Amino acid sequence: MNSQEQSYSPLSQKEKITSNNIRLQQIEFLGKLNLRLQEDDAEVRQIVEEYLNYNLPKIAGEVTGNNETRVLWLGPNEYLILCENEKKDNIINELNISLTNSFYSIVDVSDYYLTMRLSGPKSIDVLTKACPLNFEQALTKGNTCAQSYISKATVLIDRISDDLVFDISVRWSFADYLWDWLADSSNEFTLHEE
Amino acid sequence: MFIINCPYCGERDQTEFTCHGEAHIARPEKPSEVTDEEWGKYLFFRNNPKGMHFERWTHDHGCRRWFNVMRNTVTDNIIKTYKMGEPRPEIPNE
Ligand SMILES: [Zn+2]
Repeated sequence: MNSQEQSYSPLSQKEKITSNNIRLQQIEFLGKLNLRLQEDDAEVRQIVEEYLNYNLPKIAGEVTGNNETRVLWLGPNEYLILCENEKKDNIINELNISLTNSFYSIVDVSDYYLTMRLSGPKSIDVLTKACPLNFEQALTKGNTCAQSYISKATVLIDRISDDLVFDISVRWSFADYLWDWLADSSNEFTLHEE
Repeated sequence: MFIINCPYCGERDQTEFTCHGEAHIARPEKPSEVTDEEWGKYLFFRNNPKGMHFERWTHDHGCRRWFNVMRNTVTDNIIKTYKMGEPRPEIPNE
């Protein structure tokens, strides 16, 4: 991350939550690229996989990746590539070149979503208050993702490790609301912490 | 809780989905060549069965894909969910 870089977002003024039970922070400078291709187009898939150096997710909720990028399953023909913000233009350009004659789309949605990281032993207790996901079926381990809603906000939840660490991406206009909702929902676990 | 099996994501809560009315209604291929009555039928007339019904649904808060649902309107049982483009399933004998 470039230290000169300044970010402003609806979450800039929010105070981090840093208790033992629950932690909440904003994740800045995350490049997000929406990639769509035809479900049965093995050729495009192969070009993308060769470029990324690993396979695209094949089943619902799967996340693949390496040190540089992560790819989340969004649908049978849709993926979200996560990368450092500085590297996203390069990835778009290089994919556009290798896919010149193919049927696909790659769209920079980095500024469309804000990402906040919820972690700590009580994070699932916070989420289940208003998220209909069955956490015994979905997001059971690291490198899984699921789209659903939390209270009134549609979200994409990316469990980034086997520990309870959830990166929650939300449309930026909902970010202020969702942060406040998560903070409020965390109160009972942070106020009376032993 | 009412669970719906999205053909792409698997079992999810009903509140993530929206129903969009009857499925398997084909738009006339040449709208300018059909009569007003035929066009009106296509636009406005729908089955309203007591029993098995075929519906289009979307998984709004999940994969955002459209799919079809075979649902019993009496019991609210969802018999089957299937992808767009797949043929309409046979109605089982009761
Ligand atoms: Zn789905």
